[in-house]
Amino acid sequence: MKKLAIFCLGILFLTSACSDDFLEVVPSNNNTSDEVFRDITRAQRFLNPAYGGVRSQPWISLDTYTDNAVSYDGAKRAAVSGATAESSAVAGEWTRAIQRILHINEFFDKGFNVVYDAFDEDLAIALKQRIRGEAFGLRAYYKWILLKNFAGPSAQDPNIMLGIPVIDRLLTIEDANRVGRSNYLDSYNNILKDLDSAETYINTLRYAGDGDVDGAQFTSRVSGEMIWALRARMALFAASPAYVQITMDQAAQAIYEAINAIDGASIVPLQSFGDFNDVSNPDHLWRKGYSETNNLEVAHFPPSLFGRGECNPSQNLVDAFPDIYGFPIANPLSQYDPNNPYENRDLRFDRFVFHNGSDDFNNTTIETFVGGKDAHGGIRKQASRSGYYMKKFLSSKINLDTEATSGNRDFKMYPIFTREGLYLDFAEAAVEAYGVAGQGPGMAFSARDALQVIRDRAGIVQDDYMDIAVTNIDTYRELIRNERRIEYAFEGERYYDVRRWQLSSTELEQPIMGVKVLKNSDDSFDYSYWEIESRNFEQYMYYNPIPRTEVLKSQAIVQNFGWE
Amino acid sequence: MLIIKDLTMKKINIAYLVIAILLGMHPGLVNAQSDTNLKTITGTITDKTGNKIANVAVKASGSEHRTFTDKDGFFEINTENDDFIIVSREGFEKSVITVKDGAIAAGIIIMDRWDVMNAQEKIQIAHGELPFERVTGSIERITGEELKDYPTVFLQEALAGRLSGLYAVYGDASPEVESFGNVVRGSSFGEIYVDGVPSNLVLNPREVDDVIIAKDYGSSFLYGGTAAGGAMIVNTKRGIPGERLMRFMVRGGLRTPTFIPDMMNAQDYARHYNTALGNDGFAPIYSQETIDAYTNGTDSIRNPNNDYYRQLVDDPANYKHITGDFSGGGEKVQYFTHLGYYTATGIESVGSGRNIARLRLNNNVQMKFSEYGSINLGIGGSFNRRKAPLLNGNSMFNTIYEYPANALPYQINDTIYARTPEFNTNLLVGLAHGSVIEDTRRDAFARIGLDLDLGSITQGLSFSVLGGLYTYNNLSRRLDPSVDMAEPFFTQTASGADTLVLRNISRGAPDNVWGTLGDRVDRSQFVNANFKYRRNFNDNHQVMADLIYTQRRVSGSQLNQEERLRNIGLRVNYFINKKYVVEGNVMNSAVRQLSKEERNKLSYAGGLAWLAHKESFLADASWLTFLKVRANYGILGEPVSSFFLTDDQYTGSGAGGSFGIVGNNSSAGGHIRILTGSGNIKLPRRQYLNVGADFRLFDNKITGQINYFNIRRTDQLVLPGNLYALLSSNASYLPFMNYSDSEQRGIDTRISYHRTIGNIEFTVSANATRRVSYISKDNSVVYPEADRNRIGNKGDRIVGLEADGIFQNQAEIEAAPLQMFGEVKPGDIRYRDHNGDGVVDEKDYHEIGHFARIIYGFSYRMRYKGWSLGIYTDGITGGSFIDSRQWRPGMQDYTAEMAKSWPASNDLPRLTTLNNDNNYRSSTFWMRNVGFLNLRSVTLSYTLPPSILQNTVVRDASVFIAGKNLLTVSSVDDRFMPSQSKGYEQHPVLNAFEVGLEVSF
Repeated sequence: MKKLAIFCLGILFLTSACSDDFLEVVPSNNNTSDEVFRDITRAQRFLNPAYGGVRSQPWISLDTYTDNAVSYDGAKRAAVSGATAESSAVAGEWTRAIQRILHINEFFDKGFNVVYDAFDEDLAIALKQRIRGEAFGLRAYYKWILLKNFAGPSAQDPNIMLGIPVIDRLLTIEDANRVGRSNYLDSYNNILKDLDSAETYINTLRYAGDGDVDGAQFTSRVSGEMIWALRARMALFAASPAYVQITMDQAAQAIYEAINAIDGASIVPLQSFGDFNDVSNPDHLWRKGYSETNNLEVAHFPPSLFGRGECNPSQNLVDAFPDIYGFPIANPLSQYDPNNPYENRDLRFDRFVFHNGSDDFNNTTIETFVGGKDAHGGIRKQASRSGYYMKKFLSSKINLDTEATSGNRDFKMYPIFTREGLYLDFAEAAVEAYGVAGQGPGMAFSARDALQVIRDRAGIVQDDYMDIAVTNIDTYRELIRNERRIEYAFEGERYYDVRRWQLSSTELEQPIMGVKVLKNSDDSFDYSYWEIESRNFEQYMYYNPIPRTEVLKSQAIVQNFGWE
Repeated sequence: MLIIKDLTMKKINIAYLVIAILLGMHPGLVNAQSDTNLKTITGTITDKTGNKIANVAVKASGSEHRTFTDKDGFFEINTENDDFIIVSREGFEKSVITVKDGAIAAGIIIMDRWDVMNAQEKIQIAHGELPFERVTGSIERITGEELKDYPTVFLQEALAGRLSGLYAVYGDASPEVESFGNVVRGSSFGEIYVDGVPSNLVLNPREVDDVIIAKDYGSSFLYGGTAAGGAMIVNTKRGIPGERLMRFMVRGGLRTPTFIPDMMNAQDYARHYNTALGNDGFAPIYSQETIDAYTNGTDSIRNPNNDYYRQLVDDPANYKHITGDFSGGGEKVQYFTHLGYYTATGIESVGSGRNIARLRLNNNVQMKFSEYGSINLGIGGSFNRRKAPLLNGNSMFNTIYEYPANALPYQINDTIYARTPEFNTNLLVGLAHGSVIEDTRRDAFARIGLDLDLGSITQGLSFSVLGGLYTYNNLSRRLDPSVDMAEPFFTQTASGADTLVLRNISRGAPDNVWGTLGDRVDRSQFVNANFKYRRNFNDNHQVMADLIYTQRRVSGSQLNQEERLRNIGLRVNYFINKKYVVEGNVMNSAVRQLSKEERNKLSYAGGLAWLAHKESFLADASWLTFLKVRANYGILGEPVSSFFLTDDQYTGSGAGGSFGIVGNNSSAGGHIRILTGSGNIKLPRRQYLNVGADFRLFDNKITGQINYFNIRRTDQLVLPGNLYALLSSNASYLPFMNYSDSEQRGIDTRISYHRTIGNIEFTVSANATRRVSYISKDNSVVYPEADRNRIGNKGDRIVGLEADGIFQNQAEIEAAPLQMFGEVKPGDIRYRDHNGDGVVDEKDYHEIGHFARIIYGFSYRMRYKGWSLGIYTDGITGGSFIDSRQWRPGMQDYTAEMAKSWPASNDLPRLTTLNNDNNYRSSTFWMRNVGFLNLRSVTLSYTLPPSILQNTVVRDASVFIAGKNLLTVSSVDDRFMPSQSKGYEQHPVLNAFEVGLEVSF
């Protein structure tokens, strides 16, 4: 009996153990779709991360793939031998943009069938409007990133200029490999359509004041200024020699329209560079949120300012800065003195580049001469390869010395679109469209007006060279392109510009030069120049490759011509 | 050099001793006996093949008399009327003979050799045991006594080189966190079952009775999905009825690194760095005066020339291990207690070093409470205390490796320590004046098992249930003192004199308050219930069946979700005519994350075995002692990681970003999708086929096994990022898919030869495993360059470029196909245009070799009179590796090897201070032979002869010396091949020389 009892107990134990909650699903910490898209507040939370692909810092390293700069730790592969379909400087832009487009499409799919805020329905409706506009604007921006980086002639038929894979809905694995690239113009128009939609939902040109929908606290969300600036930039690219999808006249008009929409029919003086720390800068048409940081200084300050000195401007860029009167240094009329090459230069030179003898940051004199503190084996073993350090975007308020009593952080942000950018876009298109006059019919200002405020900010007070340059289309064009190079230095834009302009491969294969500074016993300096990096550029490299694995995976995505 | 001496430790010490005495030793102290009315028993002890065994210790439990066998294996002993005789000798398994009414059953007593698995011997397999002859899978078994002669406290290290299919991997080598891992047929063990309970205890060979490696589904199947890669089954020691044994061991040893890199001194480094700068187009930075100053040791603050190995890590580490094993018991209750105390120190010669102390306790008690049932209990755990610099052993060695000899002076003056912008770890500060971490880890387990004989209900039926609990917790705290530090910089004054400038000064601060760190707690519970049916219907039909139910919960502060596992399974093993075994298994090992339908699926396994030596046609083959030919095959589901797969999932942690301007801003939360649901996920499966044989030949002189195995893993889950364009840009928008199939094929074998020649007994053993994997389906991009693809090729191949020497001059570069991997200068590697498209780029990647395919081991054990010697080796061969040791030094230290850089020789490309995308990539230039043989351990021991011990209370006494990691033979001599980064980026593996003493009473 006793054994039987034990046996029964055993059975009981077994069965009771079986009927546990083993198969019940334990709720995870994560959310379901219903929870995420329940009401307007939460829907907005879903949209917010779509801003994650907007740069909050300039793309400094892309300039090391151009003739503007080199990196302190060596040559970039794709810059020196040229890119391959599996290794290109901009391959990451593909992922960066598509990742957010997928996210935004999910927002379009689910983000509007939500409950309004019962306490303030009007606000909720206004918010929903704005959010919808933001989603369109952001999607347009990411599509533009794709177009800017990956448009090119089809590998199957080089006469067809391909654009981007247009993805306007939630993509599934069933159709992921079936979406191909639309041609350039269709892509362009598709982006414009998104921008038009954005404009219909966003009533705010610029966020300001304390409004619940359009207050300054929303700065850096998609705004009217951003929509206009993006249209302008797109038009300039589409009309560029590399694409020629619209005429320069159309481009000039589109840009004029943008300026007109933002500022009325006038050119506005620009804010000074300062420490690039003005988060309320009216010239910033669109930027990502700001933060108080010293990341850039830690990476780019020269060694004697306790930084790593990562970005080293090239002699090529240094030579692009005109003299104090705006003359190119090669011009016989310029004040440039090869024995004192850093004197009498455009003020932007001293604001953008640390050179031997710079002494305006933290009372420290930069010494890049051989044996100096900021040369190899000075404070650091590894120092500038070119003899220069980047200064643009860095704050003079930041002192990285551990013992420093002053602050070691400053407000930092990076504007994607700026007023000066818009002016440069306009100048370039207007000159191509309307010739040396640079003024279209019915327009209130010319290319020169736009260029002049930029030169004014640069401190070129008596711009004699402008009068000379604007008489000849080639020197005028050259001047505009050079201004663009300087204004956009260390932002990566030159990488696109030289391709868009289709500069000759001879020009693009110019070696990257650096300076060797020798200090003489009488404390004067000798300057000699040497080749730091070479460049290889093939014809097909005007257009970037689509990341090769994407082409191999997809049955529909066609590679750009020349890339295999 | 005893370490931790605070009160807590003492308290716990005492507590442990009290527990040990209460639990373990008490039963051994009873039964005092008088010497009257004793009976004289005689007998002869032989091994299985009839060889007489001398020097066997024979002890009568009741009378407490003892003796040893003579050279004819004969003994004579006085016992009680009812008594136990325990016979024991090194090399044989201990056995107990019952004395009933003053007599024993047979005059000849047969002892089993350690390395011979007896046909009828019961072998532990998944949730049960089977006689060896009825196991259809490949198992390896080794006894704890055999593992004892490896100088280690880690069971997993002691297994090195001994068993077929098994490889022992060095884990962390720093003494205070030392660890080892085992790999069977290329995959880590799914589970380690200690006394039936899945556990993760640090076990010491001395507490282990035996270890069984259950390689395939003939033995591990019922452990379920988590053990799909094979299981390790450990049985800790149990008391033997009638025995009363106390065994004490003490040993101590010294350890030094097996390998220290040969790095350049400051003057050589400076010269070569100047060369590298020259190659990059820069002026040299070290003047001849500076280089001379390094050589002459002038001004060590300005011109440091530090030999970190000699200055910082030059002390032999030492360790001590003391154990006491207490076992015994009567007919109804038996106990075993293992108590161990281990301390170890590190090799630092500065600071207070790395220290660990570990107390280990393991208690087993079995009690028979009626003729129908018994209970077994296990309680134990360990208490570890570690104190070390926060700069751990691996980081320390990595710093030593990376920092040139002239990187920085340790101290600028008496109070200020140095750092530089590029080299900011001051090792002297890190080891002697910096943060210290101290942690206390406790683990504890409790296990209770009940076995009931239900024969009265149905003949042959029994029931057992086993429950176990395991907890682990780790409390860490740290002290963060700091010292004054600055960057020394020398500058010239106007007069030309050098002045020392201190830059970037930071002030130190003492710290006397320990800060506590996160507390880690893990818990697991395990229950196993098992109905066993054992029935011999007649000699020709014997059935053993097991119905099992197991459940396990694992939770812990580092797990996101509680893990729950449940298996229900049945095994039927049918023995026909005592020659043929047919076994079938069926199980539900549910994976909770899958759909209901998938969860309920059953897994199957089946096996066959044939005892060929019993066949009449082999009856004449006198050389054949035992031959079991066996095969098994099964399909088992594999667990998937802990998420739920069916619904889209989102998380609120995605950064939303901040908006606004200073003084008027808003930051916003974000939601992102983190998983795309997939409704049709199938259970990933593993199919396992093993065909093999176990054999014993020539009177057990030769024993061994050989196996062919084929492991197919199908429908493995992947996020198909390399299959879908566009979507792969955001993996969260890809659903999981069953899209990965691979196969491993191989053979493994072990063969041992045992021989006795006069007084010499020896065993030589060799084992090897050869394994190749094939990929038939995989989440990888398919290239038009076919031999670059993973799918359809072998899984262990090395893909790279074919190097064609080094460019000697610019003309050669211009004549060669365009090399698209960046800057190419004379002194850089030239690659061949493999696909013939005129340029060298990624499309020229192809299979250039394969990784190691063979692991092997040799062992030798010898006994001569009181002396015994054990030598164990293991190794890897049959493949290559890409040697990236000399890649990308940048401004870090140079190995002595780098002196061979071009143009000094063509062995290495030119030195550079910069990145180099051309040279530092996988190619035949860097391919080396991976083969090596590692002498893992040598142990020599001497056991005092019986004649000396005969009339003492000492039953057994031996002294031993041992060494481990003594020698490695390989084609590459600038590293410790068994673990290539140890000594460079990681703490080196230490060798050991120890002496010890073991005494039993």
